[in-house]
Amino acid sequence: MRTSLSEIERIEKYILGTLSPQASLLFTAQLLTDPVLRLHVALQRKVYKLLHVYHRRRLKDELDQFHQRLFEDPGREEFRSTIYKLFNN
Amino acid sequence: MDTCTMTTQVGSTVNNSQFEELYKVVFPKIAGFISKLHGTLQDSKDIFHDALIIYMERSQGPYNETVATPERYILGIAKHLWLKKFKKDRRTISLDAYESTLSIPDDFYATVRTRQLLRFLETTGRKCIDLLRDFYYERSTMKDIVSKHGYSNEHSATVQKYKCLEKIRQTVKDKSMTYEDFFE
Repeated sequence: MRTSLSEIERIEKYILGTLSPQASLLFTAQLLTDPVLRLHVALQRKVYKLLHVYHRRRLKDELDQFHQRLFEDPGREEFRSTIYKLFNN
Repeated sequence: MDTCTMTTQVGSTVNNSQFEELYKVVFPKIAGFISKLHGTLQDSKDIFHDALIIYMERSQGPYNETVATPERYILGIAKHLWLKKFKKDRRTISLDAYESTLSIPDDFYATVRTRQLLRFLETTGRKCIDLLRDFYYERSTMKDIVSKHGYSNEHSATVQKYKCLEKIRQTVKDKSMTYEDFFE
């Protein structure tokens, strides 16, 4: 793997807390003296946050599809009417 | 309810029959609660889905202790979500002792900046974010990822994962106008 990709892998392990104690110590020391590495760590954290937001959004889409099927399924008339009744007053 | 007609791909965090059961038992309660507050069916669906997502996250993370029963938890969170949306209902909704201990995750409402960035990534790098989502959130095995995304082997999938992280990281950097953008 390219050096830059290995760095990304190392940063990921640091963020996820899966570096060995020794490697983690070394990484922390490096962070103190390397502003570019600090920036990369901050940016990579942001990437994981974005992925989390993306995941939630996709989950919501999937739940929407499920909901739609539930409300279109002929076998679920009883369930639907229970729900509809709540909003018909 | 007949479960065999309903198949879904909702995450992997809650399995289908569990999920179906939650819909059957908890959704009518949420809808009942929200209809009393003059909310709509659409509101109920939105709040229920958000509460479900928070439940899925917390029931398996280090937050396990806050989940009394799925039903209690989801209803409690739904109340919080409603209050967040309609602050005026603060006097109408009462939270019991358990519900008061619950909270919406801090990062649940994405900032405008985050939403913009994500929209950009969805149009320019959909493949990458889908691949990374599978890696981090869908709990897919390496084998599944290799076949689903059409890689020749596990090594090339791993390399692609880091390439994607690099690409998105670069986008975040390019699109970040201020230092605070990525320290929020």
